[in-house]
Amino acid sequence: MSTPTPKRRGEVLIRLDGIRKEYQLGETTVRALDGVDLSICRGDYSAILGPSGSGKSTLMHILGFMDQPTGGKMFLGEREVSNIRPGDRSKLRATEIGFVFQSFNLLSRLSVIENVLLPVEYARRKIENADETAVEMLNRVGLGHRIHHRPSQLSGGERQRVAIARAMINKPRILLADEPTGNLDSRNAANILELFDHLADEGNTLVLVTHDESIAHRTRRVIRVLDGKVTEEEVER
Amino acid sequence: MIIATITKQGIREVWSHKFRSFLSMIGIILGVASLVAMIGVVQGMIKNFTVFFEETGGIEKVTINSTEAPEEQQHIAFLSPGLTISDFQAIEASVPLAEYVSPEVDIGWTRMVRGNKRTGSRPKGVTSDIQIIENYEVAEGRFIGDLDNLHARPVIVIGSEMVRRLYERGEDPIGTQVRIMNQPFTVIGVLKNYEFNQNGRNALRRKNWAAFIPAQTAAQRFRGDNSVSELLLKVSRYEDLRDLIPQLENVLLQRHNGIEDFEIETREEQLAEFQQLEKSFTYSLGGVAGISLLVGGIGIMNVMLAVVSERIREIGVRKAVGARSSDIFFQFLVESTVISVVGGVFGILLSVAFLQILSTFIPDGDNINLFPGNAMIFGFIFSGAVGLFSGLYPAFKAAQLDPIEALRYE
Repeated sequence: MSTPTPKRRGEVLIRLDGIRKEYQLGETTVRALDGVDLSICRGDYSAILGPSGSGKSTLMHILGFMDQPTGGKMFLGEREVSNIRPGDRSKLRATEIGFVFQSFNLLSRLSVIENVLLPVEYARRKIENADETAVEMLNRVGLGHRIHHRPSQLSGGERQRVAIARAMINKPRILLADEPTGNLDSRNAANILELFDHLADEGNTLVLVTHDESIAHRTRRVIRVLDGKVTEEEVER
Repeated sequence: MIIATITKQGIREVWSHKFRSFLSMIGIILGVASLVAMIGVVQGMIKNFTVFFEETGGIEKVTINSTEAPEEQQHIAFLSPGLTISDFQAIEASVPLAEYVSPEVDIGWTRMVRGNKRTGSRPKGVTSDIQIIENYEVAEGRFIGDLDNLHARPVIVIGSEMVRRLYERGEDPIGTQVRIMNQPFTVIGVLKNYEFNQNGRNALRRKNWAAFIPAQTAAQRFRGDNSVSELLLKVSRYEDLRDLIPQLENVLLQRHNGIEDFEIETREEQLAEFQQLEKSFTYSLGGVAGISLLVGGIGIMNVMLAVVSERIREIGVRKAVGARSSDIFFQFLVESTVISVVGGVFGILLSVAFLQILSTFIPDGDNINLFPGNAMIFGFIFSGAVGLFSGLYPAFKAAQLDPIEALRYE
C-alpha cells in the first residue's frame, strides 16, 4: 500500500514508481520490495521505519544507487535512472548521495581528513580548496581539531561525526543514514541526532533508516515499511 | 588526479604492511637477481670467447692444412708435391680475395739458447702477413719484413714469455743474438704481452711463447725443402669467404695435380658451435630465471588474493562513496605492481652483490659483466610486468565485488 506524495513539499529529487526488488535464494524467490511508490523532495527530513526484514535497507540501497530494482521505475529529478550502468550508479553515489552507516565504515589506515576527502577523489569533480572544505566540514561536526587523527583514536560518536562529514563533503542532494545511532551509547546517539536535526534545519535532505520509533519521530516524515510495501505517514512538527 | 591518488594510496598500503610486502616480493627479488646475474655471467662467457676468437684471427681467418690423399687417390698421391711455399706464392699471385697470406713452416719443439739461459720454443717460419692474420702487435723493434724473407735472413721476433726466460729484467733484447739448433738469430722485435684470464689461466699464453723467423730461413736452414706445415689466410670481408674457398681449391688442385691432399678450414663451424652453446645457456638460464619470476608472480597473486579478502569491507566502503569498479581494479593492480617493482629494484641490487661474489669465486670470473645495464633494465621491466600480470586476477576479483555484500562482510 502506498500513499500519495504530499502536495506542499518542494522539488522532487527522487521518485520511485512501483519499484520491486526480488532476490533468488536457491529455489525460492524473495520479494524484498513490492511495488513501492515514493518521492523524496528537497528539504525532506524523513525516516524509513520498519522491523528487521521489512525491506527498509533494500529501499535505502535502491534510493542510494547501491542496488538496482528488478521492476518499476526510478527517477532522479526528471531523469529515469531505473536501469543505468554500474559506472553511472557509482558516479551518482559519489555526487548525489551521502551515506552514513551504522558501523561508521571509516577506513582505519586513513586519517580523519583523508576519510572525509575520499568521495571528493571518486567524484572526479574539481573542488576548489578541497582540503579547506574538508576542514570546514569537520569543524561543523565539531572535529576540526582532530583532522590528522586515525579513526582508532576517536570515540564511536566522533567516528560517526567524521562519517557525516564524509557524507556531506560533496554537497549531495540526499543524505542517507542507515541506523546511524545503532552502535552508539545514548549520549552520543543524542548528539548525532541533534546534528541531523541541525542539518535538516539548514535545508539538507535527510533520510534516516531506523527501527526505532523515537528516532523516526524526530523527523518530519515517517515512511513505514512492512513486508516490502510502504506506508507513508506524515508527521507535522 | 584520481590516478595519482590511487597510486599514492597503493604505495602507502604496501608501505604500511612492510613485512608482508617484503615476504611477497622475495620471489621477485630472487628471480630478478638470478636473471640479471645469469645474464652477467653469460655476457662474461661471450666476452671470453669473442676476445679469444678475435685475438686468434677472427672469423675471416682460413687455414690450409696438409692431409693424406683420399683412399681413391692413394695410389697416385706421389704426383702431388704437398703443401709448399710455392702454393703460398701461387695463392698470393692468383687469389686476390686472400688479402693476407702467410705460410707456417714449423720446425718443431727445440731449445732456444742465449748465453747460459735456455728455454724450449717452437719457432715458426712466416711472412709479415701473419701479424695481421693472427693479430700480433710488436711492442718493441719491428716484425719480419719481405726483405728478411727474400734474403732468408737469420732474424727472429720473440714473444714476452721468451724474453722473460732468456733475458734479465730491464735488459733490451733488440739486437741481441739467440741460438736455435746452434744457429745464431738476431732479435729484431719483441711482441706485446698478451693476457686474458679464462678458467683461471691465460688463454692467450700461446701468443707469449711465439718465436717467428722468416719462412725462407726456416725452409732453407731447418727443413731443407719447400714444404710448409700450413698456410694461413685472411679475407678483408667475411662475405668473401664463400667465393674464396672454391678459388683456393682450384689453385691448389691444379698445383697438386688433382690430388686432394689438403684441407681448407674456416672458423665458421667454431663460431656456430659457440653460438649454439650461447643459445643453450641463454635459454636454460633464462628458463630458470623465468620460472623463479613465475613463482614470484604466483606468490604476489596469492598475497594479493589474501589482501582482497582482508579488505572486502573497505572495498564496500569505497564503492559506497562512489568508487567505480575500475578505481578498485586499478588500486589493487597498483599495489601488486608496486610490490613487484620494488622487488625488482631490490633484485637488481642483489644481483650486483651476486655478480661480485661470482666474479671472486668462479674460475673465469674476471670477465663477468659486473654491471649488465641492459639486463638490469630488462629485469626491472619484467618485474613490473610480472606484478601487473599477477595483480590482474585479484584486482578483477576486488572490482567485481558487490558493494552491499562487501559492506555486510564481517
